[in-house]
Amino acid sequence: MIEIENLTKRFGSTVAVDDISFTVRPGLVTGFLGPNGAGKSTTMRMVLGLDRPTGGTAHVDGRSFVDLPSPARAVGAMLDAGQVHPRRAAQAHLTAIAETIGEGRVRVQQVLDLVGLTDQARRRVGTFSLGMRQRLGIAAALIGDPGIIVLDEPMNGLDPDGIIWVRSLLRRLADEGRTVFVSSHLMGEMAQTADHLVVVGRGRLVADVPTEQLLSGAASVVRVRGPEPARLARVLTDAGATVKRAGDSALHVSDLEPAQIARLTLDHRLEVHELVTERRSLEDAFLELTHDATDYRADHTTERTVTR
Amino acid sequence: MSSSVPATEHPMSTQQTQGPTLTRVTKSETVKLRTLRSHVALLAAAALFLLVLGPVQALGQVIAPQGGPPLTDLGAATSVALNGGVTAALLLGVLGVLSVTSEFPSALVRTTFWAVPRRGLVVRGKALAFSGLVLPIVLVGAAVALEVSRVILGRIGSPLTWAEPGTWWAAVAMSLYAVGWGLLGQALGWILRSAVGAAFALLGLMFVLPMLVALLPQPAADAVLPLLVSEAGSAMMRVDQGGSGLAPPVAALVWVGWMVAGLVVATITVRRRDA
Repeated sequence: MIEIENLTKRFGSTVAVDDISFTVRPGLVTGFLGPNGAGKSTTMRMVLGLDRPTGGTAHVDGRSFVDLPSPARAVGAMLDAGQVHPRRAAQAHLTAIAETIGEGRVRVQQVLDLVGLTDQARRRVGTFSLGMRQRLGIAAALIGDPGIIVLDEPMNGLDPDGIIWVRSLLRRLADEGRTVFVSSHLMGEMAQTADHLVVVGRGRLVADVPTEQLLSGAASVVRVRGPEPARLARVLTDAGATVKRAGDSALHVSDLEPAQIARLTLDHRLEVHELVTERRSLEDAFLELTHDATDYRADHTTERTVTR
Repeated sequence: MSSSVPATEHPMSTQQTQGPTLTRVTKSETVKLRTLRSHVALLAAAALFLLVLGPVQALGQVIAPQGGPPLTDLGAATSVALNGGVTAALLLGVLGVLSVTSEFPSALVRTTFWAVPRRGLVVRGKALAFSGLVLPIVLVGAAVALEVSRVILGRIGSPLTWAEPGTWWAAVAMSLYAVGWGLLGQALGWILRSAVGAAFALLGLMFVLPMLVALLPQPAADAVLPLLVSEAGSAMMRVDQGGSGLAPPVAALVWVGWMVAGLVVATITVRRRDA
């Protein structure tokens, strides 16, 4: 169990993590989603005691990571697959980690087998592909047979086979009752992997929901266009819909079926030029969630600034 | 392939004994030292210089004994025999720097601090691993260089003999000196995190600082100079009892004091920073 409360991190005047609170529970794969630069890695570093929070706490099994009697046996972590000396052999890297918790050759061999790097064990890590480095990083994380696993972007650079492998490994680890906390900037990838999603954007918590809920919320939206969008919006909102402006005369309506919308416009004698169901992709849902919280945004920003 | 390959059984009650200890961290750091080819090469080169340079100079003294005063006293003879020591110390200083700074470009240090979150333990473990690996090698290297030189210099009747405690002291002091350079390199590596920066700082501390201090007004310079790490280092290796500067045992204490101070500052720095 990882408990994060009001966690904040500032680097100078930049707020990397802004008052985030959530809990990562055992037995589930929890996806940590957000665009690049949203504060995911910083949050994970604070969980592992590598960065000191400016405010708030990140607790692991009820205390801070640094105070755990055997940290690497409690929390396995891979923050970046590149955190290995490129000229050291994979086996030597793992042995150095294993020695710190009194494990040796046997355990190193087990994790090498587990990630399928047995034949590459004596090769220098610098010659590894990114996928192999990810596997090595996961092997390092699992050396202490930890109850909590924290992986930063473990699917980055993996081929489809590798992604399926990581996915099934995470599933198995969660099914064994472990806490699995995995970050990604790809919504689609996480939707298929995680049971629960914690979404951040620009350092802020945007959503903390079961994956199912986010998916159903993302399922569809109805686009309604007419000459009186303001009145239309009021009528639909009164009927319990969630309405968002989509351009000058169009609205994006959710929480109401197309038939109900048509009935309402008829009842209120509102002219409608277009009424169409738009399937939103997961990416759209994600973008919408993080839209206001994204640091690097393309065209939309300029458009808005101009119209203002 | 099952993911639940358990490590050794560890119920919660014994977890305390399964965490990182100084012994374990030292073992881990020794693995790191031994498994990088560049580290091993530096250590081998240092040992080679220590073994070869002294006896070669001793041979030169026998073949063409005109360079300087004849080797009538023990101090002159041991300093010929351990002629390679300073070069070895330089290389070991670089090894000390690299043993720390090689963790930074790849951010391996984060993996290290994840496995051992108590960073003081890492600083101490690295220092112990370095000392444990290097000290026996330089001690044996110095002894062999002295013995070979003794045999060679015996031909021109030099007073170099193991019957003199000064000869033993020379071997021990040289080993302390060489290891000390490495530990100072480690401390600077932790503080500066850059190989180049730490190496230059080490050279500055050893060669430039004494020159700067010598520029101070006279009483101040005389008071401070012997306490500098470079001066304490050479005073420690002096075999003859006369001469200026600190007595060798006192100098050795000052030398070790510098190492301890360096590692304490390193620990404080590393604890305060984000990794």
